[in-house]
Amino acid sequence: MDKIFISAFLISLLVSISGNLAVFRKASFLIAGVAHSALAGVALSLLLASIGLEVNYLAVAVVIGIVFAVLASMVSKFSDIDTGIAISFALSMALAVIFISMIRGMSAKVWSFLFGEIFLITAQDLVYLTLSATLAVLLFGLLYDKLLFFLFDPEGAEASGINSKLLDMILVTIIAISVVSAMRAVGAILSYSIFVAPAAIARELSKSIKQSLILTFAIALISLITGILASIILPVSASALAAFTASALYLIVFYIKKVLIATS
Amino acid sequence: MAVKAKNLSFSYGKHVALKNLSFEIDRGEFVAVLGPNGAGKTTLLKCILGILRCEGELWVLGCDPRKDRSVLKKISYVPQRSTLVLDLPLTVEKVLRMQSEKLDQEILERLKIDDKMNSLFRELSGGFQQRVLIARALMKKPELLLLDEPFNGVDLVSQEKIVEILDKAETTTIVVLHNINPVLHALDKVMLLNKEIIAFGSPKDIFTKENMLKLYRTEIPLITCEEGFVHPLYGDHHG
Repeated sequence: MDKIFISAFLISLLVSISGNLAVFRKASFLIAGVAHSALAGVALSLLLASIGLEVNYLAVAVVIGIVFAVLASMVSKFSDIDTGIAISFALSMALAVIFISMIRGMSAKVWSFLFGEIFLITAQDLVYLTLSATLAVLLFGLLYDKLLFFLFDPEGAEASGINSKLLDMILVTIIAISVVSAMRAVGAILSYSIFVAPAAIARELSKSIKQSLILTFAIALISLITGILASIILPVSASALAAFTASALYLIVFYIKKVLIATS
Repeated sequence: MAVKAKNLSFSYGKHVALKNLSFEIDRGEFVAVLGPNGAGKTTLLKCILGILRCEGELWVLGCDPRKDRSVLKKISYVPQRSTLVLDLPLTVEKVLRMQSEKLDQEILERLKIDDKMNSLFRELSGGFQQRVLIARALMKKPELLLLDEPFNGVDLVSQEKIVEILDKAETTTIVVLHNINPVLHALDKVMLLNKEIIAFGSPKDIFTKENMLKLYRTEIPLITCEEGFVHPLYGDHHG
């Protein structure tokens, strides 16, 4: 059980950093895109295993996730980021389906990444989560001021000599690593709500970036623990309940804020 | 010489944005670039910053910004407010500290934003947001200040305050505008730009019916104020 709660803590840390980065970059759809491209990575690693080439599935998923995120970021230079994500999303999902159709016998493992299950977290998954969280915290901490400048004022940042292309690549890499390492627990489909909803709530309520980071972390942790505890009582997936809690909290906050604005 | 360009051109693919621009701006001058939408005003600023790789000769504070990026340390750029991402819950102080560690109390007081340090930037009016951006740019103590449409969505009081500050700033200033009237009296030179330079000179001489017809391809009424400046009257903007 300790393993599960430690995972929830680490995932919340990743959500706090990557969720906020994605929301402030106005690229929250990137989370869903990366998660689904990682599915292609898992399917590819299984395909390689079926022909005798054993490779670490998470390493392949991380690489494909980063390639997807960088590709989406590059396309966004010519068009908007949504178009970039949509094109990369379609490409990676097509690859995932092609790989899955080629490894029919082992496709169940790929599908387990689609929905996720925090109770199936292994010691190895926990190591990956710890490494990802450490890397995300280090990169975010080291580049904090530059990232804020770039996110708030991309043109001003570039004009002051900040290498905005490199910074954007690092930003999407942090997001990609976070999402892929959390996918085993929360799944490709549900990672979107678990990563984005807490940051979207925090954006509505926070008066500073630090407050936004802490609030996002707390909401993600509450959602995950609610999901874990409820799934012990109910025969329902923990990640689904966590995603439901996060999304429901967003709708409640959004509704209350709307009512408050209307009555003030 | 603060900025010198010779045959400066830039294209977005096949679309020509700037064509053979040649001009000189002396140190300490206050210059406005005026033109219709799509005239290449913002593109010109981005070429001066070296963000866009233009063709032709270009010298900014004695350097070629396309090759020597260190010149950016001497330049401050105030982008259009519409390019900012206002979702971020940043205080005014945090926005100001993005470009300089030390806050200049005098600039804050002159722009009357010294009591707004703890306010959220996104909750300020357009006028105060613009004042904060200009304060941030001035605190860098730049040798060259570039501003892109600083009066868009800004109330008259803030417009006057901004003009007063820019007029007194001891730095070369280039401001891009689509309505020149708020700043006209403070300018040393005006560039009329529509992909190519239509005219470049003193604000007292440049506004003729011919130049305005070439610039906007439509007749723009002109009115001379008591101080002898000719003001173009376009849309609902009055001199």
